[in-house]
Amino acid sequence: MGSTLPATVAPSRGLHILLWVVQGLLAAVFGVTGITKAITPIEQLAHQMSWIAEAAPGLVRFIGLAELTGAVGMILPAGLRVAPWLTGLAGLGLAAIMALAVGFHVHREEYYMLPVNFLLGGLALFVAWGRFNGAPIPSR
Amino acid sequence: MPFNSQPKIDPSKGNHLALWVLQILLAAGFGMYGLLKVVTPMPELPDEIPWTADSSEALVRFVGAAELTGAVGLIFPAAVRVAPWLTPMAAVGLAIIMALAALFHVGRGELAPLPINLILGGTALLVAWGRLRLAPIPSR
Repeated sequence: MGSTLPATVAPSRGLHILLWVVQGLLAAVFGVTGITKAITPIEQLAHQMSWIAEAAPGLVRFIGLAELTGAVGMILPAGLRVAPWLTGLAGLGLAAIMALAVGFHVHREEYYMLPVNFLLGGLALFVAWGRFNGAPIPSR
Repeated sequence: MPFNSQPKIDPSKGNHLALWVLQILLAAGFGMYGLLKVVTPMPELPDEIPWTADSSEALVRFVGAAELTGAVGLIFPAAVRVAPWLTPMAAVGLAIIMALAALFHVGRGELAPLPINLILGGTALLVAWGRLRLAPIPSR
């Protein structure tokens, strides 16, 4: 195999591409799970996510709306280049939700979801770092 | 808002850093899920992973071993720089497992795991592209 492959993408564009793909993935995932938590009747929701049966409905809806807001924030400010720093903040916000989710699931002794929480939170922190420091998006 | 819109790090270093972060996140996630599928006694596994109740032990152990192999492959060849092209191959392999997992879950009418399959598979494809084209790791 060719082990000394030259890079074929300009390095400065590379991080932008990486960040946009991760932003798109996070927006898709948090958009789907957020809207599910925001609008599905609670009884049906408990079949999909076991913790919901024991949580206050207000908390479930609030988390759903927060995730939806974060999903929109991954795309819209950076896409329109209007207040693009909001995308970095949305990354921090989603990471904060995932950190709280880790604490919540550990408390309930549900360890199976932890890798997903770590992965999603880590990707969100990556977007925050990338859009604040690595490859910021200029305002119009 | 006083956020600086100039990149503060060298772009080509940023890409390597970003890809290493993604590789480590994915390796941690697949390492944990893979190990869980390989070593947990079959009767206990459905508590954590519902679909294993209806699958043969051979399939569950095989999927676990494949995920563990992929997790090792994301880190080891790139870190020791011996046959580093194995790292993007491992990422492609993990993406294939996630594509098959998505089909498997859709076939069972389970939509809840799909966002997880999407984010894991999408991130794996990103690592594959990044290590093949954007910032390949040279062999020693």
